[in-house]
Amino acid sequence: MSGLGTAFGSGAMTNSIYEIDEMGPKDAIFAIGTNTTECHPIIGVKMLKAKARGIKLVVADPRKTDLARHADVWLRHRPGTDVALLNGLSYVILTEGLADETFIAERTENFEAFKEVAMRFTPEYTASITKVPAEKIIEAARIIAKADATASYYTMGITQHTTGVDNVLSVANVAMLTGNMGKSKGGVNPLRGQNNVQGACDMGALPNVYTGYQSVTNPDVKAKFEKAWNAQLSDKVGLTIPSVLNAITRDEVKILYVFGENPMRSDPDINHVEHCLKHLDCLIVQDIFLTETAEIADVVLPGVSYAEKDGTFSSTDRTVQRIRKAVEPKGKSLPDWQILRDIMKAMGYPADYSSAEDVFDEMRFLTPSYAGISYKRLENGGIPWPCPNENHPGTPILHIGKFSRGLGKFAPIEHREPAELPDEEYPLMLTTGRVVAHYHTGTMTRRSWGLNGAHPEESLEINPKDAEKLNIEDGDEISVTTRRGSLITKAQVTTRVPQGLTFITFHFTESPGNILTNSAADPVTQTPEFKVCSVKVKKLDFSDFGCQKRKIFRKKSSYIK
Amino acid sequence: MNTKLNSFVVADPRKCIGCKACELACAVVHADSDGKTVGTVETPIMPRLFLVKTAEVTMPIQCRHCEDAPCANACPVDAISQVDNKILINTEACVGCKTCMMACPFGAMDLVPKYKDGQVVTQNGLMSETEDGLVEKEVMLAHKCDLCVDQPNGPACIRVCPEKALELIVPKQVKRKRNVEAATNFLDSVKNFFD
Repeated sequence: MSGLGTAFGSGAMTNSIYEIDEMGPKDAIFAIGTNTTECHPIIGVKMLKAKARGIKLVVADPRKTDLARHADVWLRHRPGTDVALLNGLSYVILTEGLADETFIAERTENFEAFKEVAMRFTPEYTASITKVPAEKIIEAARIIAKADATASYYTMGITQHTTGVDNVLSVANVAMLTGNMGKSKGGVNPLRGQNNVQGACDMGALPNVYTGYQSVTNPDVKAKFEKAWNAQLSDKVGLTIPSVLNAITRDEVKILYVFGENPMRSDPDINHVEHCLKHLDCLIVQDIFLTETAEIADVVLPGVSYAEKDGTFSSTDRTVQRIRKAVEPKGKSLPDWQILRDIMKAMGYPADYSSAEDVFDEMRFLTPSYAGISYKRLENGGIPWPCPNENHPGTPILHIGKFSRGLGKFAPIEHREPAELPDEEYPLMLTTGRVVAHYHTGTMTRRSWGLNGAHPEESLEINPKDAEKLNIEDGDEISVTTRRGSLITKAQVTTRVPQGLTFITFHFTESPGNILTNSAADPVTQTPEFKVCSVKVKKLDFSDFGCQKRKIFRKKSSYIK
Repeated sequence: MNTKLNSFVVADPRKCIGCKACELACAVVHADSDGKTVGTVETPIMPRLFLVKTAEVTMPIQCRHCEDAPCANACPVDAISQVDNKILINTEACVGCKTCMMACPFGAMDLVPKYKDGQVVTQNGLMSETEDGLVEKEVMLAHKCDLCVDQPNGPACIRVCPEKALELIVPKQVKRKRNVEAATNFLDSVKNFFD
């Protein structure tokens, strides 16, 4: 979001999901850092269907994901070398005369500065950094540049790095270089995870904005909200999650109110997270299940699931849709907005919303991009924002004619190595991700018979050459250790990972992947480098204490009823 | 062809996306449950087809209902036989010796615990040492694709696959269709070179 905000003026997915269904033999998809068929299966299946209709597919991923297996060109780059790879593609596009000169001249700025850096990334130089053969870089660049329309898709594979923002800016560079912005079947498309994370961001969950990305430091915006809410508001940017944790250790944050999040399993370096959360004066958790974070809370407020409340969800392509209550909440659990309203009242603020629609209407009159969306209009289907007034149909494709910030801005980006690379003590690299059966910390999916049954336990993907050196066979119990923590799991010996790289998820509480990950983060967004750290793996020896540990592990891993 | 060959379900590896909907559907229709939804099933998930997911290929593997079924020929208690063009296991006779498992070249055979009315059925004599002490061992039975013989609508896996990757092969029909196509195509080309 930060990268695209800088390049284009708006951080959201620029095009719409349905455009994939319209792609044909003259179009292309460039998927980098996204295991789409596994993590966004519906969009992934659309991509495969488009492939069957003749599009060209370029996939950049260090692992041989199912999407990579279907690609016309699979760029198997070293984790953390996305900038080099993208600069390498840009070099080929520039030197083979494939750049869209008209687009660059009329719709962008800062091109020369970017070109100066990109021109150093010859295929051979790029190959030396990324370990992708030069011919593949050239082939991929030609496909991306020559297609009538190329849509770029990315997710956490490029954002969860200390160079996350740089990686995104580089994807934007390639899209602008090839003139693939502001048109159908093109664009730069980050795929969001949760069904309403886009909505949460739109509502100002980030610490520097109000709703619709209006800045908290802007005095006109501050005045507008102070008048609407009849309250005094701060003009300072708040804290991101990593900063919150550090502030807790310095006693600057005393109370934490967590809702719909499980930091005890989804944040990196969870030993550190646990230490911080237990240091609080008061931890309040609002959730629909007793998560690992709720278990250590001082107060637990029971929320309700999607079926038990009214409201809206905003999908990854900015489409706002209604959700409608179908069943009554159980026991004393309440919709989030009611809990928050009641807390505000108890704290002395006269919050008098009587329905989710009340809240929505108050919000949209303060939010230009949502102003034209109403519950009444949503009865006829979803509306993609920006939608400034009630006669506006919504905006499926952004940046047509001009970018949100006017001109698209190129960025000159140098390659930087990840924070923690393999060394003698921790000789392998670890990357993390998801499997199709589970969602994040498994709060919901491990309580589902079918989903948990389809994938009941963790395993570490390890290349056969690495496994052989460690005397590990497929299915062996192993210990996996980083500088931050250790867990026990099974080995899955496979060539899906290249030699030197291992992969684990973060879905299983009894072997939580984030006990291993590094909290080193991107300096701008503070997104942690979940995708790269160094690890050592050892086969477990059952002649000693290791055997006892394994029995405990087995008991805990049974399906949660 | 004199005899009717057995039908079997097979997946197209070019279409399979590894979602396991087939495994879930199989487990649900064979589970001893009255409920209408998957969420009501209490017994563990025990599919009769097995998704393989490697760097090279993703597809489920299941029983081929072999004409000269090695599993049937190997079974020392004659628990496996051909019934109405399907190779089926008579679970009452099965002793769980795993000879069928060793015989099957596809790995289509599995052994699973027996459940009745949502509870596992245990053996009378054989005890097992566990961390909870000595408990009766559950009855284990051979288990493989039965072409959904008890289902009115035929194989569940084929119906749920979102990519239509699974197909029921009826050998006689496939052969006939190809013979006709080959003959028709030849007729078209022969007009060009025979006088």
